[in-house]
Amino acid sequence: MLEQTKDWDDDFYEKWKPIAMGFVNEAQKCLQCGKCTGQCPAAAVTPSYNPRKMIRDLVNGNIKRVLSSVELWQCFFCGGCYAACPMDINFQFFVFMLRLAAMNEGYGWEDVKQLEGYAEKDYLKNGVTVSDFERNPFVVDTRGDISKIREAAGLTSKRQVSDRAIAEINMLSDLTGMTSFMKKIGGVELLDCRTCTPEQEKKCKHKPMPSRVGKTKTHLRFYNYGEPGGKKHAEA
Amino acid sequence: MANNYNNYLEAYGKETSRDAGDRTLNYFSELFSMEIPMSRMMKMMPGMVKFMMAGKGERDDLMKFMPQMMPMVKQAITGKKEE
Amino acid sequence: MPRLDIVAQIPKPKQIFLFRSCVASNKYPGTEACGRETLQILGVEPVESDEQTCCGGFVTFANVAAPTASMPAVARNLSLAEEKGLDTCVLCNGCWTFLNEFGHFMNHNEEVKASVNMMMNMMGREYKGTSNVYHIAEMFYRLKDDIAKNVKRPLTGIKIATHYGCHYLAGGKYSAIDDAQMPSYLEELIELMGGTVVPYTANRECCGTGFTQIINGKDSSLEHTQLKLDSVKEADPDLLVVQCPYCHSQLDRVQQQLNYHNAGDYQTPVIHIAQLVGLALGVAVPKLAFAAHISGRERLEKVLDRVGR
Repeated sequence: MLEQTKDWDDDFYEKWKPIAMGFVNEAQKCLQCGKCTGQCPAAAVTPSYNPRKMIRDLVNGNIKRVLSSVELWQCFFCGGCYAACPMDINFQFFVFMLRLAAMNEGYGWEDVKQLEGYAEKDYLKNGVTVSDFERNPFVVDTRGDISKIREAAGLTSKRQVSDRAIAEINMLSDLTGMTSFMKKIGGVELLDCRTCTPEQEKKCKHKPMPSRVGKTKTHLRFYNYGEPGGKKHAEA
Repeated sequence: MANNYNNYLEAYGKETSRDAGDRTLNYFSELFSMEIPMSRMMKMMPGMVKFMMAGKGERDDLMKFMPQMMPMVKQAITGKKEE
Repeated sequence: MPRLDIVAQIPKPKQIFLFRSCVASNKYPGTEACGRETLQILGVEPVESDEQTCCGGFVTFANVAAPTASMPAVARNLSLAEEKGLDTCVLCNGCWTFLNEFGHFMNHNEEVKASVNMMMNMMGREYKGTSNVYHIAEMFYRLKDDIAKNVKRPLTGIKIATHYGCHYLAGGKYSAIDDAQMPSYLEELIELMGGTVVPYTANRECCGTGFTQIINGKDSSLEHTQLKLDSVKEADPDLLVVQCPYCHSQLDRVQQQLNYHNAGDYQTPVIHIAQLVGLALGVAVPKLAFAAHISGRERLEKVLDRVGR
């Protein structure tokens, strides 16, 4: 089914340009050459992900389709699209901005919820985002205690970040509204997959789903750009 | 599976892309605004207080900043820029 | 062919601010130790600071923080190097792009810079934008003559494959020292140290971490890494050299996960370019910290035996 005419907005992109501090550069230059999709690692494994189509929708103002898509959250942030682009469109920054916009519309919170811990428990507490904690028991069995290896290498047994530095990044987080944004994500109550209806199950990626974030009602996302691909769906 | 990739039209109901787009642009203009109105100033206060409690060096640095801060507070309260 | 005009602009400093990386510190400490040791051998004194935190790239690209929230964190980290009047040397592609891109953005946008500086002033700091950010691989390429002079353990007969990492070449489409599609400076460094370069098909492919995909889109992440590792396995190098700790962690750890799921037998040791240069320059074995590596540990030991301990 083609999009209905009313879903396209001619001057959406005109209004978009001055916003976002110039992070997002000139998508209207897009030639629709498809080089971005051709070299995309995400498109290689999830065929419905298509940067070219997403730029077209953005420029033509069909923002509904972009924001509510699962595909928006499949980007690898590798920047290959920017490297390949003859018109220098930095599409990875578009994805970044569009994800923020999608969250404002209530999409994608279940993905971000899984990442919030890294900011709260590691970045703001220790000043280091990737901690020395290992989830995989095999890794610990193989290499043993990392602090011993660090000491043998002539480093301190734990990566040192001063208390002053942690106080500073915490204040920056408070000042810029990152803390309140994180609280909003952290306050999300995830629905249980067991209570999910068959219809929801078909659409969702078998992940728990928050019902409401602050004042925003959260929604399920859709495969808006074609059949979901990838190994998992090919077998099913 | 076939119907799965067009239901976003139903999900948005009667809203057009213009509505969703306007909402998005409002969100961004708020997010990237450089102005510090009273509400934003109030949100910044707890962070500064926490920083002040963290230690003596922190308190001294923040105190040095206070003279710079006063005109901003005034501006936030009155809502206009002083020249 | 590297862009020699950009390489020529990199100074040969007496001191440099060594920016620690989260993954390099906490998962592969050899990278951090070797970065320090090799720079010292090459006549650049690394200066480190406990005040330095994570660059904030992960939190930002995980969409937990808006760019407005992470910009001051970038400014804070760069101001530490500025205080000492030094340039910054990073170990990680992610740190490189993130500090470069956001630093560049602040330097060219006075309004944003003023607003960030207001927050900096609260903590008695100032961001001026005078510290240039260099990747350690760039520094090695700049100092390649010194590397050639100081080789203690020639890598004769060691087959080495390269992986550049997306965030250096793609993120630095115009500021990196090599072309995004056909880079060759790591190969040049390897040959300089006596190693043999092994080409493989998926050289320019992403490692598959996908920033956050490894956490919330694990299927697609593993699938892509498997594509890459299949190609590496075909070429069968003794070592796979990366220049980003995050690629390092993905390529090293996923091999074990794939072996566990019976998706094949992958045993290729992965090491960071700082560790490779450290190996050639004769850094003591414990400081290479190969004990922290997961995949291909036996082959790694064999390599050590061949080049001498």
